[in-house]
Amino acid sequence: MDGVIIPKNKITETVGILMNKYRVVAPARENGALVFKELADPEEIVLNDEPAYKSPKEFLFPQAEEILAFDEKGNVAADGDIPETILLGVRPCDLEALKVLTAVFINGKFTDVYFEKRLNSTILIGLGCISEKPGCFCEERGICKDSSGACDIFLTANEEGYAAEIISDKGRKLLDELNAGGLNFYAPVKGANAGFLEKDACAYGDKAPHEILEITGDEKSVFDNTDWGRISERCIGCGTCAYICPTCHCFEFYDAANKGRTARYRRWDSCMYPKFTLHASGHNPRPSKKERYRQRIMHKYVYVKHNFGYVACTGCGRCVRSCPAGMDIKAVVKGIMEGTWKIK
Amino acid sequence: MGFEAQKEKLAAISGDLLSKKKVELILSFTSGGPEGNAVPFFMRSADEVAEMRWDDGCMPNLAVYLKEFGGREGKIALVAKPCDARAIAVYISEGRIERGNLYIIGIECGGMKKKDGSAAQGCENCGVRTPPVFDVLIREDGTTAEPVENGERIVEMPKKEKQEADKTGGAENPAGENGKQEEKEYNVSEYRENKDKAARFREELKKCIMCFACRQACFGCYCETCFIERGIPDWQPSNPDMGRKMMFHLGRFMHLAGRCVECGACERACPSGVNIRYIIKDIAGFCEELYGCKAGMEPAGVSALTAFDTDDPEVGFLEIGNKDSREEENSGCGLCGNSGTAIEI
Amino acid sequence: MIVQESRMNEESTKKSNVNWEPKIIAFLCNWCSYAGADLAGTGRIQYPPNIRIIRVPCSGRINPLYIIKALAEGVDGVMVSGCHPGDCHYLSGNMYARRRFTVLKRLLENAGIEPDRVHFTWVSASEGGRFAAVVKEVVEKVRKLGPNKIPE
Repeated sequence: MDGVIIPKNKITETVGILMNKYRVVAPARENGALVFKELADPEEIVLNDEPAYKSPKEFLFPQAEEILAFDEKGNVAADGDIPETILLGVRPCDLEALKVLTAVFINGKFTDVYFEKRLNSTILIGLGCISEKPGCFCEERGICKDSSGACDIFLTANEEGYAAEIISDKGRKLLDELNAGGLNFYAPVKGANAGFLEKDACAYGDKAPHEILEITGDEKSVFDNTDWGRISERCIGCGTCAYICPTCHCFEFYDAANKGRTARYRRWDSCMYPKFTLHASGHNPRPSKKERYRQRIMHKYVYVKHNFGYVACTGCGRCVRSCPAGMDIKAVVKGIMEGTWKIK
Repeated sequence: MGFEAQKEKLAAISGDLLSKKKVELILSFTSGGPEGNAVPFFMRSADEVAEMRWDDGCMPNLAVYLKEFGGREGKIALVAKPCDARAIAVYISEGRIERGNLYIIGIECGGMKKKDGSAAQGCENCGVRTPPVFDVLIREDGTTAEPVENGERIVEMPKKEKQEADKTGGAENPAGENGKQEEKEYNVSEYRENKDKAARFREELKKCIMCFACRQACFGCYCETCFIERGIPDWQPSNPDMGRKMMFHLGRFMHLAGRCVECGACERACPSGVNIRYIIKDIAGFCEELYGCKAGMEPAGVSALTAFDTDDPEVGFLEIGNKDSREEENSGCGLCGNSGTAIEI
Repeated sequence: MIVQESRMNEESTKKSNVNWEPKIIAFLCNWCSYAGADLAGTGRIQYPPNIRIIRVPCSGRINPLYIIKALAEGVDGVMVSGCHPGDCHYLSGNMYARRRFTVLKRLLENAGIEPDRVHFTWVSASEGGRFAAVVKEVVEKVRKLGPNKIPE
């Protein structure tokens, strides 16, 4: 792994140059809150240790996306062009989450062409975290907060600026472009220590494998013998957790008919909504929030693990921070493993 | 604020209720989440009472959980701040809960504060310090009061006291309501500054991600199927973005007009920080001004839009249509404008 | 990502603003206002053709959501007319409607929708001439405001 150092005072210039050719999406302030947004000005970028409260998944999987449109004469609208995008400042938890989304949309039996097109037109630049924020538990989920290989370039803040580690060919090409453009980032002297960043590739962070936060044990027993009613009592069913979660990917379709043009939209849905599993017959297999909250935890921690081998929660902590009723997924999973919630 | 004294009393009452099994469950507050904020607490046994919390950070509106407990058999109790008690009064007047199954521990409140010390959402200008409905009331100084007669007692705060509350309870604007109804602007500082209402509305809506957290957190939204989710009729306009957001928020406010108790739960629940509450706050004041109906002040009361008066004011109606021409023209059918005299046969 | 929604013909006329005519939806109660409109028609009283009439049994039946949706879809103005207070065919429908519409008008104003886009009146079955006058006034007021920019 090699890379370059980007000095602090060259960040804005770099972003400016990137903005000439690409659509740059990076953390910036909007009405006081830190979000991922398309930059209009290189000065807007905020690269610090604060987590953006929404995940960047909406740039690969938009909240409302037009899938197809046609008019009265039967002409079908051509698919729009996806601009070449750079997603800058994505944290390791979000990068791991993109792996989950890739597994769902691309690596399955069918490929979601909309997601795939967007992913292929995007260059991912990760950014390491210096400290854990309240609510974060990525390390307990086995994700290193300060390094990730799931991107094209990975930035780590240091005294001089940012150490940019080249992970993939896409990343190398981008850095070559920048260097050719006259920015002249310098490569550090390759030290004797392993790796460019002088640390080993981090698989489990500081925690040994048996300390990882996950649900082990018989699926049926966890399903039946846990007091889900008590766990989910406080939940108000608002669905905020699903919307800001970087791995949540449920969606629904909506057809909007209008004079001259009819379009089908795909938009986000949430399993926490009461009508999520409403059947056309009127039957709803998950009628109350107890079943819905159980589904959320079991899906993320048990079902996907058994079926596909990964866990769909990366410990970013957004749901914990944003929940208006104080639901805490980490406490719930820990409680299940410790037997606190066993039905007596 | 005698929070400590109130908490002691609250703990005593709760312990008593639970140990003597007078109620199955008590809804109150405790600390939770990564930042130790106040979150709802479902107490079922007397030893859980020690974990209870009561101070100026207890913002959640507990009445919203009554949406599910409404039809239960057993009796439940809850700690009701004035805004929560108003919400319960609205539920009672709309027939949503069995009053006999509920034991309301009313608690006087002078306003909650956010972590930074500023007034919590909904508390900025609240003049209601005493819950309008309760089974036992814990006053500010920790003493208790029993309800009078049939269990309800409404305490209308005299105007002078209200202004006092505004000064101490709200960290933002001083009280100042001018009399004329057209120019009435409620004391939300940003609202007064921003003259362009359309731009402000649009700006707030841009942040909205249509997660419906505001709707779920609101006690007043208890429809099994929200109008925005219906297929028949399909209320969603063709524009799936701003159009849908506008439809949802304005439609929701029409459904809440005259029922909103201004508890601020919607704004607290919003993950995007959308401050759309200024609109419904203005409507709540408008209804009170025009029709004398303040939501939730009387359990047996009616809300502004479910009643009428034969001489309700018609603010903003077309003049030309209102002028009752049948009086002006003593005869003549209005067709040709001639007021012909009636021909006597 | 904001999805663009297009209405070919209307957008082009609105953009050019040359031939724009306000489009107004009128909700008329069956017993009074609709009959009044009918009387205007039989009496051959001329009034602007910009209104599209929707007949409802009573002004109290009008769900405020209809008006909001109409504005969200892009109509330039909405007019609601019912029986005079005290004369409602269903006794008190228009009384409830009166409160509802007063509040709705205030709500729309707060949301930035110009108050002159939405109008409420009472027109009785014998007031054909007045109906025409009301329509004329509503159309003029909306025309002054210009096209409805909400869908954009």
